[in-house]
Amino acid sequence: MTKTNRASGYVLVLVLLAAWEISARTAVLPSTSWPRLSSTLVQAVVGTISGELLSPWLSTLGRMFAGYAIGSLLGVLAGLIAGYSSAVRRTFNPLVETIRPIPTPAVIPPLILLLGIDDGLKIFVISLAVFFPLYINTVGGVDSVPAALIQTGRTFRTGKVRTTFGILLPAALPSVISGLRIAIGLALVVTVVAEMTAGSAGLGYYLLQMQFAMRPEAMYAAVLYLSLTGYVLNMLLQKIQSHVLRTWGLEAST
Amino acid sequence: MKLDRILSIFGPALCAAALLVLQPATANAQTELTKVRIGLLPIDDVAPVHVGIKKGFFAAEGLQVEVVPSTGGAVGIPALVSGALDITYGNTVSTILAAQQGLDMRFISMTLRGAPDLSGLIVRKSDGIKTGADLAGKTVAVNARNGVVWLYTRAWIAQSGGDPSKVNFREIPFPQMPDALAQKQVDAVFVVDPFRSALNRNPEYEQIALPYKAVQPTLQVGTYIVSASYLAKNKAVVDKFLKALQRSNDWYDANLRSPERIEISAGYTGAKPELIRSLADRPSLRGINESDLEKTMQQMKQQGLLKKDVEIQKMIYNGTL
Repeated sequence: MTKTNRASGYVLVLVLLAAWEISARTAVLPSTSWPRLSSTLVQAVVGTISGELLSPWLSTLGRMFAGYAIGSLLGVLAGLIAGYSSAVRRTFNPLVETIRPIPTPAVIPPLILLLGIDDGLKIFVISLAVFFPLYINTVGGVDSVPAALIQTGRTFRTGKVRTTFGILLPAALPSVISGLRIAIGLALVVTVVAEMTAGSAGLGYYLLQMQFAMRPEAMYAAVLYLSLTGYVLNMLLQKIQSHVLRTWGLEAST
Repeated sequence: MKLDRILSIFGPALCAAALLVLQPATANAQTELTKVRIGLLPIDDVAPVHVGIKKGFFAAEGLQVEVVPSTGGAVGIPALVSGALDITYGNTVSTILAAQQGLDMRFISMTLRGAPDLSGLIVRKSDGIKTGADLAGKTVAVNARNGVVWLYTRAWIAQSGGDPSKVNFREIPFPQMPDALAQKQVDAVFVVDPFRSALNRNPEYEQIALPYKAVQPTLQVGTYIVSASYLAKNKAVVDKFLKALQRSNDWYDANLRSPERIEISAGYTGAKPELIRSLADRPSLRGINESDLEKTMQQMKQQGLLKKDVEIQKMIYNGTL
């Protein structure tokens, strides 16, 4: 992305934020639940200092990363196995494709019966959401490994485990990492949805609590927190992605 | 592949995550206290439980009450069934519905008085809607289909000359109802406090009915529930809980306007003290009115929510205070 491109992206965000402030100040959107951007920003600062916003944010992040780690790990492992064995893939594909589209709020009530309402439930649904992009991208990545590479492995009588972790995984890595990037945004959304549905902590619960407390500026401060968190996480993963790809490219050429 | 590089970025975050998630429940020196988990919404109805915790009334009975706050009605009864909660705040209608589905629940206590006076049907004054008959072909916002609000809105429409089957119902959460009415997405909202009071202060809107009061003046909605199996195994715990709840109710009723009670309510709702002070006083309810619950059940049958009678008497815990 060139510098002018990036600048115009920021300008667009600023224009929308200005539109927010103006619409709340004038009578364009007359509503007691549409606060000014300025009062939302003030509340964000106040809530950060008092910990009112910071502590639910940290608890959301904790849950999100736990689910993200578990789901990613299982997704990559399952993807490698399914990528390696077409029999496994054929067996599991219908199941994967039927579970994948189920929205999180729909699975939470029945899952409460099995997993309760605490972090176990939430981490499970986050892992579930994260699992699929990782699984699908890993299978895809393994698929794209040149046959010559695998045959070379066979020539050297490389074992299954070594082939998987020594040849398939590194070769599938670019695809796995783009799966990780897709999954991080998903993980954040699902965490908040889970906290709103069966919430007891975190920003998802805070969002609803503030609606009932008639404090829209506090609610939108939490929305700003979420938006920034998503932006920063995506940027971090983008950095990791380009870093790993560069390193991986060097390894490939030497 | 520089795995260590990735780990150096993600490692600290993961550790922080693990610490947050694995954090043990608040350590308590008095380990002999019996733990009771109760599911509560962040609304004024449940204030006495928070009073009891804050003032140590539950601890005095040997109970350590842990509040599991939630915002969704989807949580309560399934969580009782799974044992994730011991007690939950709920409403009479969904509990009777659950009983029909074979989920054996017990009402152990009611919450606060006043629901019939504080839940209103509000329209835009300029539309001229006055009765249930005027609502034909119009859209009414309720917080949940098949819930208590939906039930009594339908009953009120029928009572005031309308036909509930000719009215469209839309599910909208209470906090969003004022906007939905202002933006003309709906023609009427059944809304509770504090949103109701806020709408009533605006001259553009008009409260045309208090449907609970019009249909069933004695109606009580909020209740604490346990599963029958929990009650069978933990009768002593429930009795202690109720005893402490009585003490909490006494204190709450005597200190409704005290700064301490305002502070307690502001604490768990996240609302500003001004808002809490602006709400109507709601003293606590004692005992459980069986004939009122029978009437509720009859309403449910009339509106097609219930196919056959449920034994209400069996659902009321006879040890209630």
